Amino acid sequence: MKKILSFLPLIMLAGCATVIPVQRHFPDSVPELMQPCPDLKKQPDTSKLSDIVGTVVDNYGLYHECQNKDAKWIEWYTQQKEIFNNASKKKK
Amino acid sequence: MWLLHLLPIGLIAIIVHGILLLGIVGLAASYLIRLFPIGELYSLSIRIASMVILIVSVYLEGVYNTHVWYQDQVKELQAAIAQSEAQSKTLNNELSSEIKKDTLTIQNHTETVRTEVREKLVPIDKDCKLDPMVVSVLNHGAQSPLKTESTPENESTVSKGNQ
Repeated sequence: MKKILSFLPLIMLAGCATVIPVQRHFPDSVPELMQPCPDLKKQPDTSKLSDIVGTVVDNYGLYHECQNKDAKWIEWYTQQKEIFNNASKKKK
Repeated sequence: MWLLHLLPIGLIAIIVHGILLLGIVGLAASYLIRLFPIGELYSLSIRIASMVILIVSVYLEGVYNTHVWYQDQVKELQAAIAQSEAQSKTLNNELSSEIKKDTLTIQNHTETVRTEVREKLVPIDKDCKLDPMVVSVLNHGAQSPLKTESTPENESTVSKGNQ
């Protein structure tokens, strides 16, 4: 009888089964994308149209850089989401 | 099962299978022992003990197999996560290269247009003299409405170094 009772602690230990947590880290971003878009350039006092056009061209350039960053953010999010979801799908 | 984690999985398997085998052997022995004259005395008690051991061993087999299954699942998931993290890093490197390349292309384009403007200074400025209000209105437009409020009056004093 004592031998039979000696198995009880083993049964109790077996009941302590726990699910091992698997940690997932949020993916790092691209450092270039973490820089905010700069303010548009201001025009110093001038009466020449060429100066104005120059500033406008510079601001167009800044906009295009910012537009590109925005597009890359969307691409980053879409692809990272796909990678993230695929990792879960592989399990199923 | 958390204390059993201290033991190697192979040892746990041996213990669990050993208990099951003990139960089966004990049960078989309880019938065989009756063939001997003295066996009648112990047959029932051995059978009861063997049945208990067998029930316990079946439960432990279930726990052990569940544990092994979970371990396999965890390993698979960890491998999938490691793969996804590697893919994520590769994607980041690719995007970083693309951004640098695109930024350079945009800056080159801007510089090309700026050069074009510089080359055509005379025809651009020939027939046009701007009112000072133009600059303040332009700067007002360049100012983000989400940042500090500014008026055309205080923007007309922007320094030359801003260009």
